[in-house]
Amino acid sequence: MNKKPLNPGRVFERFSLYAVIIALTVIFILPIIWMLISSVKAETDFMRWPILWFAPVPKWSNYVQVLTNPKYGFMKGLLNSTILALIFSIPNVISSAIAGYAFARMKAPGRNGFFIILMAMMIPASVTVIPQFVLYSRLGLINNYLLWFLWGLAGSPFQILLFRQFFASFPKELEDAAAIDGAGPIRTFFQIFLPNAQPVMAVTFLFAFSWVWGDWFHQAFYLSGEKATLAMKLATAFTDPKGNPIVTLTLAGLVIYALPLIIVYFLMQKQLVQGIVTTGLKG
Amino acid sequence: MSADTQTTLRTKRKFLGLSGFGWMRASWFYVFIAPWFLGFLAFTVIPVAVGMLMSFTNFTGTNFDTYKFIGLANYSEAFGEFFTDGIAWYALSRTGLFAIVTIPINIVLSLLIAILLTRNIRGKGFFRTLFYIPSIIPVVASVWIWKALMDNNYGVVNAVLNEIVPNTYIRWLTEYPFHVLVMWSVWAGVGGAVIIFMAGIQGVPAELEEAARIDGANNFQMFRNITAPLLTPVIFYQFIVGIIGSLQILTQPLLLAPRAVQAGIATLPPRENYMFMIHIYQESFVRQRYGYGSSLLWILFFFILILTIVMTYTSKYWVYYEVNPEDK
Repeated sequence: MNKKPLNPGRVFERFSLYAVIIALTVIFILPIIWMLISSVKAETDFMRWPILWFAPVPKWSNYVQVLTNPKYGFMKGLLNSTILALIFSIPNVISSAIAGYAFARMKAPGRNGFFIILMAMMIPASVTVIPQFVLYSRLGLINNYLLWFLWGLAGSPFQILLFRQFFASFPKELEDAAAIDGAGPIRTFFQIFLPNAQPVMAVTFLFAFSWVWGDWFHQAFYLSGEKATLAMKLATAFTDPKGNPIVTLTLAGLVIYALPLIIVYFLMQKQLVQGIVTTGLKG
Repeated sequence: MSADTQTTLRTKRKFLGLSGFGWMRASWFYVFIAPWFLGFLAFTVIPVAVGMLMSFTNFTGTNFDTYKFIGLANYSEAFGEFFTDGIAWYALSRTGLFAIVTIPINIVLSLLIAILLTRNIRGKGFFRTLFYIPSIIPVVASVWIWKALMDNNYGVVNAVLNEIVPNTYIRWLTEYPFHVLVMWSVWAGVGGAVIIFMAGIQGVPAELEEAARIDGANNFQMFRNITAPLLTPVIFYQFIVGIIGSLQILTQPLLLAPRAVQAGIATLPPRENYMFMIHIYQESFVRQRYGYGSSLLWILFFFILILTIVMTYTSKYWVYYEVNPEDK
């Protein structure tokens, strides 16, 4: 960019630009800050009117309560959510990688036809919710984590597309070298292409993991009782022994629930932005 | 190709342009896409077919042996609702209103933020991430955030309004649930669109901008004549995604609803937030009318499909497609 001299008008322009951006950011972030500062308040301070912005003394014991009080079953939910997310994400990444590789590097009659079907799947079909529910109940897949494994195994269009874009950029020589070494398609994929796809695997894994982690609807719909996940538990407020909801305690639980995603996003923002742009722009 | 030389040694018979050896190689493609394709059959094709059949029956979820095909009765009942101002029509109109309000706000706001962030400022990546945080927060967490913000007794929004207009006391969650739903959706949806718009703006070729600068274009003219036309495909994409997403809105109104005990599929939101998908769930899973619910799903599906087709058709009048053979 060409540097212009800083005259007063330009300084004002820059200043107002930053002012607008910061104001907008504050509006977007304030709700989250409010969650953080409320999570260390006593319930009585949270409910006070006129509003008390900061707790006089941070009540960190909210977090201890949430994590240790067996009544809330937080750790159990945390474990269930983690297991469920892994059960989905691992097969999802592998299946998507394999299919994405096939679409990028293999030629066969009907390939374009299959690709069109893949793209058409991106129109989310809520038409299938009722029949799916009926079929799953008949197959005994209700309240069963196996359902998530099967969903994962089917891959997902966005993830397949990400892998396809990535594998398409590999040089042709890679396959030729593998063929000369006598490697079949399976070895070529698992020993040459997949080990080089770690950045995309990380992004797709994170997308898959956070989809299940953050999803409440399918879990509330298909799971119950012992299988309940963190999302399901946190949808209802934690209560005191009399059954009154304690919002601050619930917010503390929500911070523990949501913070890992925010941290990982900050750490991996470059790759994630790339992923969002690829599926968003080229989808 | 080595495959060709090998085929002359073996056999010359070909099927669909491939020899036996060619098919052997090609078959790996089918093996590799099999997990996805079988999943597609199991989770999409079969349910779609079953759902289609179901919409012509009086299936209740339990009468597996006694259900009957009742022709178009479900559909005529649904369309009857539309023409007599029934509950299904009400739900559809609320959903349409939600889409009409949310999509333009979302697009305008995210485009504005993207333009600001691409104006050579420091830490644009950092700001971009901050705007995206609401999108990565799980829906269960963000609903609590919004309930805490909008609560009539101790909510932040009423507290701030009170500073400006004393004695403001607005029951947001019960009297203006639709407004809260819209604000929440915009808050959670802008970040993703900002990322995509920023990529689009940064993808505008530098030569074009320089040429325009030399011609003496100011910022507004630059945007009007260069950036905006090149962004129209992205705006179009956001429109389509917005239509598909917002007409199927379900989770957010369910979670936002004031409720006695536990949030569940059967939760009934306030009237203002009685969306079409919620009506479908009420009919199917609460009133056990799976057949009728299926017909409503199909009506929604075709409604979305027609809107998408109409949008695509009009796109040639306002979406600028660069014709560049080298473009991927």
